[in-house]
Amino acid sequence: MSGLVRRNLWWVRRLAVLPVHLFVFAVVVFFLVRLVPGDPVRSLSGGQTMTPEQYEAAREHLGLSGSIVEQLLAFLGRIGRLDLGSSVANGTSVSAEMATRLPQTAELAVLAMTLSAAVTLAVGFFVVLRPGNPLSRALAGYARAAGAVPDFCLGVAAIFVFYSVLHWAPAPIGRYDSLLNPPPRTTGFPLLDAALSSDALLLGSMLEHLVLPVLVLVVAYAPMLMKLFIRSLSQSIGDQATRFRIASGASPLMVGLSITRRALPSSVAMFGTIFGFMLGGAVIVEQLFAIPGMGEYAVQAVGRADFVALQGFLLVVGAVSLVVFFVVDVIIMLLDPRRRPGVTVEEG
Amino acid sequence: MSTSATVQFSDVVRAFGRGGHTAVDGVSLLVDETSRVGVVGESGSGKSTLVRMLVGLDHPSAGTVEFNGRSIAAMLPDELRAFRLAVQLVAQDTTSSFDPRRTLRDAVRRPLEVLRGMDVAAADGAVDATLRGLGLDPQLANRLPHQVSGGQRQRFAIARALVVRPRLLVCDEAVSALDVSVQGAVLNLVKRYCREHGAGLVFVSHGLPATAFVADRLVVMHRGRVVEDGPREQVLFRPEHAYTRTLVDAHRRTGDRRGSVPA
Amino acid sequence: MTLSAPELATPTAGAPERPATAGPGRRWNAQAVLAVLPAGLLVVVAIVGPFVVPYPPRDVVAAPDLPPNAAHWFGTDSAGLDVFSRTVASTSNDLLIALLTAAVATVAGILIGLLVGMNEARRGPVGFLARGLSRTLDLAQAVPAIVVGLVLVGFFGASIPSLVAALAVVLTPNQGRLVRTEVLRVRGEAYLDAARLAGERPFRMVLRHVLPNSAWPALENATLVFGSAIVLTAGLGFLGVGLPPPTPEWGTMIAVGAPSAAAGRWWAALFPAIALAVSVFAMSALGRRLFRDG
Repeated sequence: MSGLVRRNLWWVRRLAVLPVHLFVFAVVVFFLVRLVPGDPVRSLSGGQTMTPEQYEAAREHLGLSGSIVEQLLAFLGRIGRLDLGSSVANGTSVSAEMATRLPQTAELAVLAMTLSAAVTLAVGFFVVLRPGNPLSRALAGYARAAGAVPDFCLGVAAIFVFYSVLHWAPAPIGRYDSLLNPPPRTTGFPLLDAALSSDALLLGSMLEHLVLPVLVLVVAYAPMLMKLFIRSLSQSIGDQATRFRIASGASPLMVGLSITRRALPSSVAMFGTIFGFMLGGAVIVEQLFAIPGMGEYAVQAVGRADFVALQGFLLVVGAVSLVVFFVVDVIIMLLDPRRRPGVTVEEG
Repeated sequence: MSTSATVQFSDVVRAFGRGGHTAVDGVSLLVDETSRVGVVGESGSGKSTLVRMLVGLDHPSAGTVEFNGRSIAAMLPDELRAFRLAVQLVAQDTTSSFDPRRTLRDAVRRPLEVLRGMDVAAADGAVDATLRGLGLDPQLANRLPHQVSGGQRQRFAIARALVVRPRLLVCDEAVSALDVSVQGAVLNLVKRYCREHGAGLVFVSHGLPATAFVADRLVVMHRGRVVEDGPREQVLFRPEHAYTRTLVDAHRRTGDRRGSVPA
Repeated sequence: MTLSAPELATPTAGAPERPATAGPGRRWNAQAVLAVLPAGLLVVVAIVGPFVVPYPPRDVVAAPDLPPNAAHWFGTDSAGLDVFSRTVASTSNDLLIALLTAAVATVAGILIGLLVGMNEARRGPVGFLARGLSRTLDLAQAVPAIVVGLVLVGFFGASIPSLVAALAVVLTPNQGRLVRTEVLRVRGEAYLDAARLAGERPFRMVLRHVLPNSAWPALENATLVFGSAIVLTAGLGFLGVGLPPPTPEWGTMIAVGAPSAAAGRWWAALFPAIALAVSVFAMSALGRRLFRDG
């Protein structure tokens, strides 16, 4: 029993700090909103005259009544119940909006991330195994130039080339053809719902509409991952351990597996950061392809000075990012036990 | 010059971390301006921690280290200044004991500026005199630490300690990193300073020969404790502790004749 | 982190020792000129540009959607503004924001890195706070920069000072982390002990020894911060929350040009995009030249 506990302690410990991180993040957001200059009630009422009772009611509605400690406790309590308040602009529940919009954005980011990982693996091995090949030189050069052209420039270029000139892609408006009906909501993830609804036409249209946004994200952010993977792969190939395996007659497959296993942790460590970029990229790409996700919501909220909506947006994105970092940490610890907390490397 | 400089260790313990290892474990020791003490022991015996407490860079977890009757850990700024003027250290690692971005002159002059409150011009004069006394060209002082040789850098380290005319000089492995040919010259400089200025010397090293050359009293440390403390001849020829015998024999067997009493 | 650690003055046996200070004493050749020239040109365009452009960058000067021609080199956008004049005039806005952001983020990052690095190992509330700040720096990396920028601009408005502040908040943590790592290394150096023995007060010691020896990674990284700031400024402009129109700004221009590009009129978006990419390239080339061999 105690052995079981000890063996699992590392990820349990890491899991235990996750709520602490979320808590700290929520507190930071709380105080950030209170730093906003001016009186939010006055600025939101647009200069309308209010009775003191109306004013108090508005303050209470925004969670601004009472002492700062009371406000903080009430704020944390609401977040604990997953209640992000209601939009200042139109009174709709921010949580409900997030529930429909987060899957849109997350789907885009996850698809792009998965494809990037696959492309990175393929390109990494190609470049390292065929170093003289002109294609692999071009790929390595592209990887080194990582992040030089921002995602939105790539997006505009892609729309121009593939939609406007070549007519390969559908019009950059929404997730599917506007003549089609939306899929019945089961999981909230549009592509998944479409697949489940067995509406082949809708699914096809969705895939068509997804190609360009995902492609833009992959082209914009995969190079960072590639650069890192190529570097650690070449290091790992030169390792003493690799030479030992080759010298002792291991099969090429075993050698390859061993090299990959040692090259992976450092690349996986970047996954969290790159997923963050992907999420940020998705926010931007949504704008370009008129996808009704988190980014669109946030941009609208800025336009309406809707600070409750913005606060909810930041909290949700922050929570998702912190959870992704947690998952990445656990994967790294699985791959490389030395990184587990509390692990002491035995001496001698 | 007649003021005394006495550092008294009373039952000093220094432990690191929660239940961590104990580097110094119950040491009592007295050194003053008349001492020529050599402290020997293998690496990990607690010598360096002892030195750090002796010069006030570290403080005991239990027991006291007192300078002229005042606990160093509890000193007021003025007392600390007097202590720093009286007790100076030549450290072990000469490569990192100088800031790589500042000139050697800056490093040697600094104690005069801060501790004696001298202005730059006056301090520079004193620096040049000290450097000449150590056989260094004052021009060299305008270089950066990596632009001089290891032997020269060690002399600058000594100059930095001597420039305030301390009453007690502490050397921590001060010659261990140097060539044997240079070691002798540096040791002689240290000895001459102490003789001419009536200053005390605490010479810490894992090498018995060099220590025996400069010290007339030997302190042997083993696992954080002082296992032997007495006149040089007694420690070398009539050691009481088994560890000291091992240490002395080890030097005998390697045929190092300088382990015996030099003339 | 792509920075290579420069050799510090830790001489290895037999190896020739070289100065720890990076920077001066480089040979100037064609390559060097090639690296510094684009950045120099960019600055000249930013300063002189707004005064020599052929048309007022904020006004409608011709028919909309004119393709590039002799009168309008880069054509006109969907509102009839001159794309060339706006692209050039944007340089000063984007460069100013990026420059201020890089400066603020670097200075703040150095201060935070020093504060955290010097106090992290302490006991008591100060050490606790420092460790908390250190973890916060790590976690701040988790949240996407553009998201934080977007929200901050939403809260504090979209003027040049508030954009600089928002981007500095986003870009400071990494600078702080870089410096913190160096501070932790410097803290173990024997020259700090030597300074203590010389009677140096803690504050003076940090100023004389810790700061100069630990700030360099943030200074090296400043050109990359500059690049990120340009991209983020344009990104916010592209989202429509950057400097309010008709202020010339590359991101806003690209946003305006995007529907035109979808309709086949490429010029309104292409030219500001090229200007953006060239500025990022110019600064990273300058950074490589200043801080690395080759």
